[in-house]
Amino acid sequence: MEIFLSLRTTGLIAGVIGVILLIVGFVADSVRPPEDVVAHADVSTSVVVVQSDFLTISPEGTLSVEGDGEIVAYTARPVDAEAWLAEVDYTEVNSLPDWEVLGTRDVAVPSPTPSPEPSSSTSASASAEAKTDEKKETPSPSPSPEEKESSSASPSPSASPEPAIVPTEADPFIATEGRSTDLWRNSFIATNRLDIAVDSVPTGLTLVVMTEDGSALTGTDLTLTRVVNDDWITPLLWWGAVLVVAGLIALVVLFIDLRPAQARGESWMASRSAEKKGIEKDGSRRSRRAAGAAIPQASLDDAPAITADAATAEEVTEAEADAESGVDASAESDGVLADRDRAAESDGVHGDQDTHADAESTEGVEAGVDHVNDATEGGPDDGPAPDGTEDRS
Amino acid sequence: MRRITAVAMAAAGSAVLLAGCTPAVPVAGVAEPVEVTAAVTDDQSARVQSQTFEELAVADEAKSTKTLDVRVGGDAKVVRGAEYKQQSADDGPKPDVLPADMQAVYVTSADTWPRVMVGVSDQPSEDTTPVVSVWVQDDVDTPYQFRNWAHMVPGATLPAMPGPTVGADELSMDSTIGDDTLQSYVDNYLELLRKGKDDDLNETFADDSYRDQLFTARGVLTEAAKKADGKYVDTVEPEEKSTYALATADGGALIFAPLRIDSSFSVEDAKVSVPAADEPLVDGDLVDKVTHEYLDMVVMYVPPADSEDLPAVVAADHHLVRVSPDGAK
Repeated sequence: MEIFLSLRTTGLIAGVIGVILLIVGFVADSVRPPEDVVAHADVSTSVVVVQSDFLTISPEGTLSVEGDGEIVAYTARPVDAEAWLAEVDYTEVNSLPDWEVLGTRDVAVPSPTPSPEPSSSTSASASAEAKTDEKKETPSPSPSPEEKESSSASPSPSASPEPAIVPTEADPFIATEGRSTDLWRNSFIATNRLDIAVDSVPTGLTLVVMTEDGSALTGTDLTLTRVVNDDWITPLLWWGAVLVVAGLIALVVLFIDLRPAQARGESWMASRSAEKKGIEKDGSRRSRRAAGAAIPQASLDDAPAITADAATAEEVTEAEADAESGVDASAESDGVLADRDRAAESDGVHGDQDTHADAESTEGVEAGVDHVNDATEGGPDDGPAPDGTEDRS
Repeated sequence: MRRITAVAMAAAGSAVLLAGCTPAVPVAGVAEPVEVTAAVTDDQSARVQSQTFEELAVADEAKSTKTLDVRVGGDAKVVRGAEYKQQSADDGPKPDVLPADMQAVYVTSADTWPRVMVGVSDQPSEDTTPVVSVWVQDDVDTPYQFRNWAHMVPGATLPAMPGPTVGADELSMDSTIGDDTLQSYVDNYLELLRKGKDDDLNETFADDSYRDQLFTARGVLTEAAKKADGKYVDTVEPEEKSTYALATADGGALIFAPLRIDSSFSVEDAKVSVPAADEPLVDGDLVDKVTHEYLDMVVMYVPPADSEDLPAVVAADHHLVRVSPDGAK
């Protein structure tokens, strides 16, 4: 009965724990962040720069740049890229403040400082007069010689830009505004959206992305792989499910009257125990007790059967005292102390198991018989132990 | 109340667990250094060479330098133009054969400009030594441009250079090897060219056929001028702005020094004439004086300070570019 109760209680507790585990597991599963993340940044310049150090953030990711038309990307030594970028406005992708956000930095070409010399010479003034009204509204503080030439209407062939290197199949590099492409080491090209695997960019090189026609790019993305430590969620759910099932079974059992079944079970146990009695081994204490033959027939009414030659009056007295007190009832020698444990349990005194003289043993036997009788007749609850102590139970 | 507290504790625990599962935003680290630290990789240099010789091929076909715009410039363009003119004369000499195949390319590791790239070609023919070609990139916006070439001096050996992965250090002419600057080596050699083989400086440089030929020609022309009561004078001037040096693997230096040599020959009461092959280069009417203008290229190896070898010219060419009655323009 107690076993059933404890099992049922344990099952209920397991069920409660299982529910908690399931709740935690499902909550964790639902808020589990995705492994593939795309960090984005809007861009408004025609050139985007990514330094090699930044690419270490996502060595297996993909950098994408969006814009209209042909988009090209080149790699170069950092020092070369820096020199090339000195003359263009660009956006540098340089940080990852959040998983979904790319940090950028806009870099503009420093405006030319006003020339201290009065070299706004006649030619410069003349050319300035030829400018449109719109240009007059935003005059250049100090036109460079090149700007002067471009503002003039001279058809001189010397004013034509330096011929650009025409890209060929052997040379996929496209000259930007006539600038050399010799610094570029690798190139990538696509239309409207350029995807570059980060691991395809040689280490240590700066990545420069631009539109072929100089129009502004619109945005840039970097795919990242976020390593989420979520290996525990699935096992948690499974364990929770198992415990919930156990709890449900315990709950069902709670509402079923098990007393008939328990009664049947107890009777079956009893019958099984009885059957066992019939097959006790010969010589066992139980079989000897059942047979009764081995139990000495001691008459409580008669005087102690003491052989005169074996005990003196003093010994008898001593034996009787021992029998009355029940202390050190040496049972081993009488062979009847089969229920020694029970007797000891009943009187709460542990025999010291010392062997005494025969007379003492005899008296002890008697005492043992008393114990046996006590135990047989009433059990532990049937009264005080021979030594006068009250039984524990 | 206790139940609420327990639920709150469980929720907080779950939140902590979940927070522990979400990794922090990664931070940029330090990238691996560049594998090829040289200014140009093999692919880049091959691209430059390919475009150079494509451009040259087009110009050679047209016998005109009009198409030499991007990859060929400087002295090379002038010299090539002179060769096209000479080629146009009857039985005129053909332009120098400049092989596109290189047996070695020396690149710089410089972070600044101008930068130099040097190619050593295969041997064009049995009678001709390999050609040392020099490309220069003036700044980041301009392409590498083929500026000069010179044939190797017979018997000379180019020193070992740092590999194309790391590139060679580009040395300023103020750099010193031993107690002397690189510029002083060039100056001394030019002084030797001016003074002739009897000068003490002759012993400070290894023998080379370039200066031997120059001294021989000087002697012949001086003698001829004397016979005509005339005079022969030549001037040798460096083009310092176009002189570059690369460090060699052994700690020496390889100097690429363009020179300008003017040879003036005058006679008294007579009229000078020039060979038929040089006629197309004549600019003006020649009377009693003629000046041959040359754009030469000298490649000099300066051994390291602890070496017992003498500085040596390992490649040099004497390119006639103009013949005029009054000297340099």
